[in-house]
Amino acid sequence: MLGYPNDFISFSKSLSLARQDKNNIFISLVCEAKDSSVPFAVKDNICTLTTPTTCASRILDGYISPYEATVLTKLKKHDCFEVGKTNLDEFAMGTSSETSFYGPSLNPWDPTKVCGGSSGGSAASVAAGIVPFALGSDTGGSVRHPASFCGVFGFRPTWGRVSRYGLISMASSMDVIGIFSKTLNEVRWVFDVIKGFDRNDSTSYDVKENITFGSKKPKKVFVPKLKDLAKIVELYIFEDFEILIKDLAKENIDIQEIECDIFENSLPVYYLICYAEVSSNLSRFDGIRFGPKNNHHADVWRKDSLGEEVRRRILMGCHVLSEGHKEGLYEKAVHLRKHLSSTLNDWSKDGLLLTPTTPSVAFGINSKKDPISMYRQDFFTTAPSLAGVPAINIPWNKYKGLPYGFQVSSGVDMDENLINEALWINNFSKWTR
Amino acid sequence: MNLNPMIGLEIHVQLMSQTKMYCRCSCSYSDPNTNCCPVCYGLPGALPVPNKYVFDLASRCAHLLKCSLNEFSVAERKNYFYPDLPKGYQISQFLKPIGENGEWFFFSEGVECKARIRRIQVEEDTAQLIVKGQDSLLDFNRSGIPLLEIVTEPDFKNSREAGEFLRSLRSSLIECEISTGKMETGAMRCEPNVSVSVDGRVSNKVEIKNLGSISGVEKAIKWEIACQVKQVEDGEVVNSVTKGWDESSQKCILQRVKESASDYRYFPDPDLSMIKTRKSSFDVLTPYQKVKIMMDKGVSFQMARTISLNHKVFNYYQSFPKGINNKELAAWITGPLSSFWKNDSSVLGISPKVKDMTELICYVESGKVTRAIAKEILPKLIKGSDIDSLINALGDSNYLSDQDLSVLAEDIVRQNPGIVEKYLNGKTAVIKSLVGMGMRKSKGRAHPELLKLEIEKNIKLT
Ligand SMILES: [Zn+2]
Repeated sequence: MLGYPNDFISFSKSLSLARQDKNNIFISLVCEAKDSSVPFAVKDNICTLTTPTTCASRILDGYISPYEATVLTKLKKHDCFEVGKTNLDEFAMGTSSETSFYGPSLNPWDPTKVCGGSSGGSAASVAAGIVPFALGSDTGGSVRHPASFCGVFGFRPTWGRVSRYGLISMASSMDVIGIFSKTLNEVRWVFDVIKGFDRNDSTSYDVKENITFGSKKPKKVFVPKLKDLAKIVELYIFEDFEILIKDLAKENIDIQEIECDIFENSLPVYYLICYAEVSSNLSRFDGIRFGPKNNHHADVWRKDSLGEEVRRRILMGCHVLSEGHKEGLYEKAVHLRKHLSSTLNDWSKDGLLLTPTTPSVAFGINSKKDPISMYRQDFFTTAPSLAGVPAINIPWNKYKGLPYGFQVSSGVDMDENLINEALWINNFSKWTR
Repeated sequence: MNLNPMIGLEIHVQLMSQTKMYCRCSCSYSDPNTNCCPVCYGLPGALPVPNKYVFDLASRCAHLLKCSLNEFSVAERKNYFYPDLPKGYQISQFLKPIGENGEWFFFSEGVECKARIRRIQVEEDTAQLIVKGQDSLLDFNRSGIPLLEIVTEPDFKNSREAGEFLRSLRSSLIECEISTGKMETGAMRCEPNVSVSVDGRVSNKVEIKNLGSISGVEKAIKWEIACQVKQVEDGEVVNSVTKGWDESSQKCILQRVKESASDYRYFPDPDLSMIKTRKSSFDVLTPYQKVKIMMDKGVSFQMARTISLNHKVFNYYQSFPKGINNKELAAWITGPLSSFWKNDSSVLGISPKVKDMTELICYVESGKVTRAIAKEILPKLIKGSDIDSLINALGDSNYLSDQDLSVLAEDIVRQNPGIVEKYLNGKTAVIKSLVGMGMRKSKGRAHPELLKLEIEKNIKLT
């Protein structure tokens, strides 16, 4: 099924020998596994002790972190073991996993197609059945997007419910560690292990809840206006979405249509804030402590060790925050974000927000050249990111053998409830294994 | 010439916290790169965790300086490149510092002064860059040490005012346990900015760095004012530059020219939530208030100033009973006691016991013990001897016997016929100088009143 998927950048020590036979991943996993232990894959922007943490960037090629992310420590305590580090867009900036220094990851359903991004390798490794679950990171859709392209569940928790300690920051105010799996039951299990306050992340916190896992019917569902939606997504997605709405209406669920403006406006707001935070977060890669040794001036060196998209975002971020532009760009975006955030959280008091996750199925490798068309892949995913609310990709159907999914999102801290409602909606999914 | 210097101060104070500002590493001095963690090194994926105590200390300082406290204070990133800045940004404050618009009263040369405080904010210190020959080395022990920045308005008119401001502020920072105030270890650093107006012509602001002591601050400001006045008078333009004080040549030396205003691209740190500042209720008397209290009791300004600049000394002064002669007490504290404490700072403000010292001062005042003898007794008193037994042990050796006194008076009168003559001609005030001579000759062991009577008796005999 797989040729050479390139979904992993590195493997845990005991696995790397077996990996020399590129098709024998399954066999090596069997060797490693103890009776009760669960293997999982980790996106390569989450710090681990035994494997390098590269962010798929030349600048961190071979970098071994002296400490490990809190989520890793928690999972290890629950008898899970890390198989290896999965491929991504460089520094998680992208929606195709093509900008990796180690080359693109291939879609397990069709090796000529991308697997989405930025957590492409994690989504692919779960879709291919290599691991039962994988960790990714989601800033503007980096878990939900590849989950849609690879046909797996992808969960983005509420910002702050899972510690970010050890996740290499892209845009800190939106970065969260997310979960890929083929079942929502497993998603919930992993979430229960990794969630909660961590003394190393002051923005993390506990939520007191006792919601057990189980299907729950939502009362009300907010959906984008169908006539607008037709212009944004491919026909096959639109048709499936229309059918779902009818099915939900039959179940006496209150369907409320919303303007697509909220998504259209989220995109620039998201990118402005993202650029600003990226420019600051990546300034530590200044040529002094990380990356290949050199005698070049910092500018030359950066061009050599950082990819185009990363450099673009750093430059844009410096501009967005610079004197004279900060007020009109960054501050305006922050203001609009607050507004958007309260709108989304208000809706969530009554029900779910339901949209397609991606406008299309996976596109061909090297087929998208301009950044704007790449950015539009995030059309439905950035709004929940800006609001910090939880969101899930539900694998829905396939078109010409390629998967696509629908996204449900709700309000801050309603993660457990959202998983239960997603489980109920999943009954209408046409997904077949 | 109408000269108006305008001096502002930027003061960096290391806060007295056991641990760093955004991690749990120790702030204590140690071998290079031993008090460090992923946060200190700015490693990818590490996150800042605020030390609440640091913000409480800053709030205490805001209270001390009568600043309006921002209930919600925001940590912002100050973005710039420098090798000692591991993250490429410093977590500082910008729009919402801990405190704003404060004031500080102090005395300079006996005159009341007021400096307005523009803002006080907290920020993390950078790593330390050490240049050794060809190598540039980095010590991250300093990275993340909590700093408080106090910025004043340009309210100081001369170097002395700036110096006296710093002395009084430093004393209160130590008393409130906000900082150790040790300038020699860099726990308190000060960067003055200086400009002058000469007959209405105003110079650009010059910043001075690398100042390791308050007297250094005074010298540098004095030098810079003179330099700028000369430049303005010569019709030269004073450029907005940064200078450094060079201790060996006692001059300010040009460090760098400011090409343009730096753009630090401040924005709230998304890794930190807003900080709710707790209001401080830590009240102390400022040196300014202390000086006033003492001067009201008749203590001279100079003595009051000295006592006010060390809270332990002032507390010692304050613990004496109300009826004591304050002038006498202040003289003892700033004189013999302070030189004693200089030698052994561990007993500063503790020894001699207030009760003993009170008695000793009373003995002197009542004429039972001479001042000179009292000074001789002092070291024994400090060592813990009982005052009464010390006085008793003096026995006759305390004051001159009647016989010795009359011999002394006789000698004085005989040896100073000129003065005696004046006295006899009606200038009776000259008796004082004769008594003074007798006191010196007896090394303080003559009772001044009795000596005076004895001298008068002798003059009448002649
Ligand atoms: Zn540390």
